[in-house]
Amino acid sequence: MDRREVLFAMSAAAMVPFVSAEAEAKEASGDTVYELRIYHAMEGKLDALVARFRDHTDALFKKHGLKPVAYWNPTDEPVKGNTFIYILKHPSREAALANWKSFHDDPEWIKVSTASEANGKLVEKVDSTYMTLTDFSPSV
Amino acid sequence: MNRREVLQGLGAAAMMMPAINGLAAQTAGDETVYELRIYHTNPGKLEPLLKRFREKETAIFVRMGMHPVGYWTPDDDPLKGNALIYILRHKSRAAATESWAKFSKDPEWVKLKAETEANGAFVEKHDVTFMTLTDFSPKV
Repeated sequence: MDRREVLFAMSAAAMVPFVSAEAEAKEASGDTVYELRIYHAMEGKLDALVARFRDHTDALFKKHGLKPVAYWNPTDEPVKGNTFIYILKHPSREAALANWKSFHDDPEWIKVSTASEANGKLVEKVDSTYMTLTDFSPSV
Repeated sequence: MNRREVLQGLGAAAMMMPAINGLAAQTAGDETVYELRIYHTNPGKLEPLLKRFREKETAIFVRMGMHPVGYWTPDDDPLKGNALIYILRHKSRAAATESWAKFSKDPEWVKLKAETEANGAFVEKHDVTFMTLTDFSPKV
């Protein structure tokens, strides 16, 4: 192996972490961010929204590296029956933006989204809050 | 083993289940609820609030039978620097009510709150949302 080949091999090796262990590497470096998302559904559309998450969105999130921590339904008025809450865990803020973009550009998502909203929008408003675990938090 | 011993054995096994499953979340038919709390702090009071949580308050929560899932601080304006977001898990809604009632009367908490807020209240407003995991959610 001459010098050029060695350099080539080194650069190829350096790229490997980005492919195989990006999440772990970023987590170790403390870049992990969480995203709290609160969806306010259009009137009468919460069930359809939750069904879309159950049947399609959850799998598409995972396909695009968007890691769900949990999904919840509020139990009390005034948000019961019209609000859906979940948290995603991202390796970094940059990864969040890139993964959201690839999710939105995915032809499957566009198809699912269009089909599910043939009779009207499901979501009136989304509140998204990016946040960081405190130093005293349990790991999530 | 006679019938009485079998029943005793079953009773002991039943009593151990909550301990074994203490960290696992919802299983079919259980009454687990989650509580999302968002604290909006008064100017300059987020740091002392975080310090109180870190040093004392989370331990009191646990002593009251409440299970912290995660504590976060928002990364972006307008919530950055003036909000704490956390989620508690309770065995049931009744358990949540009971734990909070005990908490508010707990001598350690009453003393701690009075001492730490001698120069002004930490929290301007808090939003509380009780919720249940959806059937397709990861466990938390």
